[in-house]
This record gives sequence, C-alpha cells and structure tokens, in this order.
Amino acid sequence: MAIEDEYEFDLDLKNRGVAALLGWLVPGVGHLYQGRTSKGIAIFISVSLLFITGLQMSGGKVVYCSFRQPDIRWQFLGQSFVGSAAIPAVIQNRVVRGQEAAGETHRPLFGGKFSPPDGRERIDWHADYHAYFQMGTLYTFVAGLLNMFAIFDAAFGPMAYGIEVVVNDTDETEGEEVW
Amino acid sequence: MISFLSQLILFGAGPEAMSGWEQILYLVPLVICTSLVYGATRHEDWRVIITEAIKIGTWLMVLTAGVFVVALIVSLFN
Repeated sequence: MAIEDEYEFDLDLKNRGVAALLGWLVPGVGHLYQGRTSKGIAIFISVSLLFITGLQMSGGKVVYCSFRQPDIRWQFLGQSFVGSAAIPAVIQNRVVRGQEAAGETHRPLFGGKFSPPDGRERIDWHADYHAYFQMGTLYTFVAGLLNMFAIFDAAFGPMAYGIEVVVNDTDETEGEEVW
Repeated sequence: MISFLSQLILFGAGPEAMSGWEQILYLVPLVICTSLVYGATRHEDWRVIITEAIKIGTWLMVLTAGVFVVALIVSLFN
C-alpha cells in the first residue's frame, strides 16, 4: 500500500497534556493512555532498549546533568526527553552542586546513579569504558531524541504529510481538524 | 552471535567484550529502533509504519555505508 493511499481516520488523543507528560516520564505510556496500545508497546520497547543498553554498556555513567566548566554535558539535552532518567539526574545535580557550594565532600544520592562526576572521576570513566562511554552516550542520546518524536506524536498525532487526520480531543466539545 | 546479543541486550557489554569489525553490529539495534519509532510517529497504520521503517532503515544503512567508504578512501591516502 502506498503511503499516499493511507485512509483518513479518527484519532482520540484524550487529554494531550497528560499523554505528553506520561510519554515523557515513561516512553510509550502516553500512547497506552490514549489506547494506541501496539504503538505504545513498540515505542516503549524501542526507546527503553536503546536507553537501557546505552546505560549498561557504560556502567550507568553516561546520563548525568552538568552544565559547568569543564564538563558541559550538552548530550543531556537529548537524554532529558526520557523523564524517568532526567528527573533523578537533575536532582543529583542540585544536591551535588549544593554540597560543593557549601564546601562539603561529594555525597550524591541513590549510590551515585545519574550523578555528575567529581573532578578526576570523569577522566576515570573515559579510561575505564573507552569507546563504550561514547557508544552509551550515543544510544541514550538517540533514545531521548526518539522519545521527543513520540511525545510530539502523543500530543498532536502523527506527523504524516498529505494525509487528513481528524484529531478528537476529549477536552473539547468538537473535533479539531489538523494537517 | 548469540553471546554478543545477550551481552548487548540483556547485560550490556564490558569494555573488552568486543573489538574490530564486531563494533559495527552496534549499528543494527540503533537503525532498527530509530526507523521503527520514526515511522511510528509519522503514521497510524502498521502496514504503512513498517513500509516507512524499512525505507528509513535502508536509507540510514546506505548513508552510513557511504560515509564509511568515503572515510576508507580518505584513509588510503593518509
């Protein structure tokens, strides 16, 4: 079937904000909330597989929040689209930076998971994991970007071109026609 | 191969787990997941999603292979 021949269809996105929030917290759950079960499961498996594999191959070190010299972790901007990892990373950042400002030693929460590295620790991570640190960063970064697309899909419907999609938002009395 | 997949998917691979050309296999899950999710966010019908995913996956592999060949040729002259 040619893509241009795709039929018109109704799509009930329910509460778009809730769907987007759920999709951000756990990939695919926003779609499950909307009743788009197969799509939700496919997104959950794909994004989680990439994210968890990336974490595993790098010893869980690659997802952390740090925007201070010499460690500007810009990759976190992509990784942050997986909220269940972004939230603890931001909390760890605030805890550790607060301790540094108070002149205390590094005492991150959760056994140091998602915590920014302390001084030489970052160099040790690269030395320990070599290319797997970069590979893990790539996997988690791509997983985050893919979830960004999935969140957009949960909030606004599929991004198909030339296809009329009638989107029903249960928060509104009438259906809204888009695209 | 099964050992590689189990390390990659279930347990993660350690730094010394693989070397050389085997590292290229890391591209496979990346391409499959990327093309599938990207296709799924553009369409609702699964037949169209799969068709789109195969197209995107093929395009990604060809692009990567092209970059590899260019890098290989450049490396021959250095």
